[in-house]
Amino acid sequence: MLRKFVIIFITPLMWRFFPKRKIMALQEFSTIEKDSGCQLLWSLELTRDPKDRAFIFQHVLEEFFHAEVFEDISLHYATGYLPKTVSAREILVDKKSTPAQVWDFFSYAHVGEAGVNRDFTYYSKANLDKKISAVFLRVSIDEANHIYGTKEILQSMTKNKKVLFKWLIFKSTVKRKFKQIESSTRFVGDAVLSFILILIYFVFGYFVHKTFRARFSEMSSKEVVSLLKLQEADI
Amino acid sequence: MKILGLSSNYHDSSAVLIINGEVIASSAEERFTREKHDPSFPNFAINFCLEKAGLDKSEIDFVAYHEDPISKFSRNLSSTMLNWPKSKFIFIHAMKEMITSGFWIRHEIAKKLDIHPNKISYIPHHLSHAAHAFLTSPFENAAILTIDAVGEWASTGIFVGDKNKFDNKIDTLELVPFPSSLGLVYSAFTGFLGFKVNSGESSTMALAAFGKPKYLNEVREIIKIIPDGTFSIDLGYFDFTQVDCLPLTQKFFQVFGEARSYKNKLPFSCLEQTDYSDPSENDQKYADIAASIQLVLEETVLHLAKKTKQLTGCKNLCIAGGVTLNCVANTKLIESGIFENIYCPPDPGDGGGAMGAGLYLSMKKDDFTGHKKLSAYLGEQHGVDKLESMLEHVDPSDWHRYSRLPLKPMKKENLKIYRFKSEDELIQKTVELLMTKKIVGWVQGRFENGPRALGARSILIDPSDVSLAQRLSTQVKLRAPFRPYACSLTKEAADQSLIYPYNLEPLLAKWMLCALPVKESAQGYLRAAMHIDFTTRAQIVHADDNSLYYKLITEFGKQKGLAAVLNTSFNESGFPIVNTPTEALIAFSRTFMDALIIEDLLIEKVFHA
Repeated sequence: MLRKFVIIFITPLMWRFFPKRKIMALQEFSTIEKDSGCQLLWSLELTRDPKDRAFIFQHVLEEFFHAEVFEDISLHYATGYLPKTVSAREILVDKKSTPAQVWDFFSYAHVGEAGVNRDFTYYSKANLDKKISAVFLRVSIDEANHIYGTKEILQSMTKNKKVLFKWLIFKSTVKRKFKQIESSTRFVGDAVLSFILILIYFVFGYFVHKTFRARFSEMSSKEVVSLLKLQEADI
Repeated sequence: MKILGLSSNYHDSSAVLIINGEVIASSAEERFTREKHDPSFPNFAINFCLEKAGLDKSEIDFVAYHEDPISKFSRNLSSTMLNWPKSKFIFIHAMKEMITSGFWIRHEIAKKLDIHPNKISYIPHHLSHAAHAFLTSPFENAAILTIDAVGEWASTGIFVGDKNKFDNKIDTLELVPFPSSLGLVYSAFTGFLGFKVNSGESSTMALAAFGKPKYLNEVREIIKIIPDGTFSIDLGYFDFTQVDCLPLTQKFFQVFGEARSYKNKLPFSCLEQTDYSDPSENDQKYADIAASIQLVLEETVLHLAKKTKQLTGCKNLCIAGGVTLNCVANTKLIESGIFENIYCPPDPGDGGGAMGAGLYLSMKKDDFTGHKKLSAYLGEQHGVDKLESMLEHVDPSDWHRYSRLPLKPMKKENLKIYRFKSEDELIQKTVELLMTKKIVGWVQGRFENGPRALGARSILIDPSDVSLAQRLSTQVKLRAPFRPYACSLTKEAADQSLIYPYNLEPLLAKWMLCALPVKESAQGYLRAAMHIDFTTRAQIVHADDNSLYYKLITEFGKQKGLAAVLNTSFNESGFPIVNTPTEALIAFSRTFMDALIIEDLLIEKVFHA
């Protein structure tokens, strides 16, 4: 409920008053969709059933397209220099993953798709610009299909064992909740770290910046060469 | 001895495996993560290198990392303190990066590879570039020039290399200290011109051909050539203390005006020369600025080369560092005749730093015994059986819904899938496709090392067909029309159609690292792969470089009259070059590419009238 409230009522206000935040958020959605496509691409290489692989292939196409749609809409609103958005990527599946890890991945993808579909539906209902709402609506419809698709793959991989399926979904739901808490605390941690660094910057800088200016403002070539030779001697 | 070379944490993270002084495998992380210029730790690239050699991580003897993070930290700290209290944001940004990864890189590598920290060496950044350039070169001794944005405390380095020396084969002679940096200044101009920094520099170089160097004096005020053989930068024009904005000051904007918005398309094309609309005064101004910075870059590179010659007296030169990807400057360097022979490895940027670091350590451990001829094909290779079985279940009817392009809806019967029975059949069919104006995706063998597609992951078309190249730009690559395409020619065709400086085939043309003028007699054949100045970024293919590709070009030449194909990297806009067959199929399905040939598998879009 809180999430729904934040997305529907707070986000439109935030994006109206802080347009840069809107652009960055849309860019980040693009990065997340692309990342999701990449994770699926890796899982595809580990999937044996050609039918499942064909479904995942289609799914990857959709995720990459969503990434482009979000990128295009963010560029539409952007002005001036656009910094690159880099999201922390967690490798959920790779070549060395065991079948159990692949099941974990698909159950996590299934739970994730459901969450994304819910969130994007809220965004599409929020009082955002029409173009943005249309993008969210279009993407949320695709994501709804992914919920069923990932469920079918998982069921086929686990040979329709209901208890195992439920256990995997339960594990992934807990993991996703944990990740959400972790990401919000990361935001707090990041703010605290920035505050500490700014304190260090001003306190430390106040005392030493003159020394640095005297010592490093004009590093000569000879000094840099001798530094490099010192490093070289260490190898 | 098994050495793993690594680069990460800035851009183009890479890994390379060297066994007994020989490079076995190498890849950029972006080929696996699909994130262009991916700076993250190269987990996937490391796994690939180990898998390629059939090694377990416990079998790695040493690891070489391409820079010294502590030295980098001291530079970051010093430069922020020099600009105290203006530099608070860059300080926070740099310190967070150091706290989260930079400081612990040795620990991170040790943990990930299960190796003792003492076996991990930091190789200074420019030394890594120098080793990469020299130790992969065919020269016994040579001068080495590295030109980069920044590595630890330096931006440019002059070295001398001698493979016959017993101990120190590479000696450092001169370094240009940060912040005087050609790479940083060129990147700042690239951002000003509306292109992506650390990625769009090739666009600045391409745009330069449409302008006149009217701002030469203004740019020379920024990059000042010093009589001692080096250069300095007027820092009054730059503000490297800002995050998330262009590193330019008011002084810069007063001289050059407003930065160009990336939203405005530039009205220049190298494919239409006669009937293209005249550019506006403002657009022409940006082209003139690009021409000016390009010319000053070339002047400075030549100035540095003269200094290098003076210090070393060598006749051979090896170059590396991000700036040496500027093929126009490289050509000027060849044409200057300062050095008789010039060599540059296929991946001279930071990605190649991994190979340089690894080779340098190999040399230090007395494991380097003179390098075998370096191959550019050091990446992963894939079979097509899994793809073929998947294709039976793929429904192409939805493909058009997931593309930016207005694709036609397709049916299953529009997709022809065929396995070639022989190499001859594969070549014959590919030639037929090229001759019938088709855009062909070409995935063969191990992928290339570095940013250039060299016939392993390429998109190919007939280089004489301008309208087809326009279709390639608008319907496949989504590429700005002012950026020229490159071409691959057989050695024999190149001799016949290109003008070589001093009548010698440049070594740099092996890996598309220079732009050569096309003889008038051959301009019709190569029109779609030429820039407006009638040069082409050529890859001269020898039979022993890539025999299948050589055969294909030769057979195409028999039909067409000149053994050359237009060759562009196999990727979609915003993505790195493809690695796996599935990635190639994704690009094929989302664009107007007509045919895709992966190893011996043909996938073709067939629309009957």
